[in-house]
Amino acid sequence: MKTLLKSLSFVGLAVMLAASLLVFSGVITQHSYRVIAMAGTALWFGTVPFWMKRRLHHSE
Amino acid sequence: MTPAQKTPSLVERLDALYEYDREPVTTKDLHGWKIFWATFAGENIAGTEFIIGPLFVMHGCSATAVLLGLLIGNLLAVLSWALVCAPIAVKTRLTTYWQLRKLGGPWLTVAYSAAYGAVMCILAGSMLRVSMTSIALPVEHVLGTPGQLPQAGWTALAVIVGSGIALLAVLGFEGMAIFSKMSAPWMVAVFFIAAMATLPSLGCGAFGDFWRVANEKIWIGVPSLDPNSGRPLSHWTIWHVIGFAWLCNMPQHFGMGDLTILRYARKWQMGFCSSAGMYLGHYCAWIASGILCAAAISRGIPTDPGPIAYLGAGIVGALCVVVAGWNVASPTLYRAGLALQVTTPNWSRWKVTLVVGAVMIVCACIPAILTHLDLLLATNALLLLPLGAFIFIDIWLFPLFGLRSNYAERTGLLISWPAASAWAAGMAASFIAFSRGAEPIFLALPEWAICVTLYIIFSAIQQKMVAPAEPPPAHA
Repeated sequence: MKTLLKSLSFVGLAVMLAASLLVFSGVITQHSYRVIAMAGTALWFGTVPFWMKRRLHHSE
Repeated sequence: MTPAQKTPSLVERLDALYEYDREPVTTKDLHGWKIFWATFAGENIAGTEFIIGPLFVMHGCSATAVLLGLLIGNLLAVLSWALVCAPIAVKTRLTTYWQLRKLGGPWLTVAYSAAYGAVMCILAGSMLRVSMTSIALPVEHVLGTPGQLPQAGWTALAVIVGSGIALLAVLGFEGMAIFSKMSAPWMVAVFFIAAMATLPSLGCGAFGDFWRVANEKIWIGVPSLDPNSGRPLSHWTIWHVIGFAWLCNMPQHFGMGDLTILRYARKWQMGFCSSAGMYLGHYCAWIASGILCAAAISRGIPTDPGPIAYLGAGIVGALCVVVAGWNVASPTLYRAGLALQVTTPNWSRWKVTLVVGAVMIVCACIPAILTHLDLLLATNALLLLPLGAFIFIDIWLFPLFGLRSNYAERTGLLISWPAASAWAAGMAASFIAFSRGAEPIFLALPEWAICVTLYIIFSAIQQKMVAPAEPPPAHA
């Protein structure tokens, strides 16, 4: 389950990166790119709390 | 009043705050490479990146100056972490606070805490202002363009947003720190996509066009006009870029602020993990925000963080600015509260944090806090740099010169006059040079040299002439 969630998180980032490359190449419009970036962001923040370690590594 | 009931002194209160970190880190608490890669990468992607990248565009840097200068300047920063800060961190395994206390005495740490707290308040204010530029986007027509002086609408926004940040710092600092860790990879991605999606608007339709567009449209070598004075900004060369990239994190590496983190490293070589932060945050992100700034200028859009991020990635970009600002503002506020708690008459942590939150809000009301961020960062570096120099000298050079390290602790001194005098003299020299027109970016090394020289001379006088005999060991 954790592996699946982790994969989904990085799919979210990958989708954002792919959308920016597509808009750079003129394949998709700015509007589509922005909508895809929002979807990627939602995927990242929707999955990352379930697998990223919550322990802080040094005292503040 | 019995001794048990007496009010603790200022120094005792300060020591109590850092009591948890008093002992060197034990072997079982040491961490490996992975955590340091993540730490440095996460800590160096922040709201400031949206301001610093545009600085190079506004100050008329050439493309070569930016791309090569940042490469060299960040390399110097990485080497400073790896060769100056990390070896001391793994040798002593102590925090900056306790290392300073040993060599400079408790009163020097009081002065350090006050200076550090004040700087943190102002930096938190600048981060709040960064967030505000994004939150203000939907209501910008009501608030108006930020001028040189505080304005009513922006002040109201600072109070609302700043109160939220201060409340978060009081209630859930740890939650904010965890959220910051989770959002770091996403922020890197947002910088990248925003720049990539903006390039076509500058006439770059293929990777082969980048160098031409970089020279003709982005870093064109001509300074912009100062929005306040209407005069051209100073022209920055490659030396400015190198100096700025190196100076930007000087309080952490040359100033030894990151002893607190790197004392958990298994090996000193883990200082090289700082390259993740430098080349993701201070290379890629600065270049990305420079591209966004150039696109904003070409369209007549304000070059503030919010508008340029929105231009590059829409709502996601605007959200990134808010997150980047809050992620730094909240822990910075917490650190400011911790540092300044000593100066308050036994106030609780929440009360101190709320007061420093109020100072942060006042700072955020001043628009110049963003336009002069370079000066603010340089002041921060010049203020804290000498203390790192003293630690370096005390540990590595004093034994070679036959001088005793940690002299204040050995002799029970309340303050090391060699350190205090050298700090004051170094700062005074920098201030005089700055008031005569010297660029603050280039003052770090001269100040370091002055502080080091004076500290060695004064310590020799103190140890060999004033107090030739070994004094009895004192209890720290």
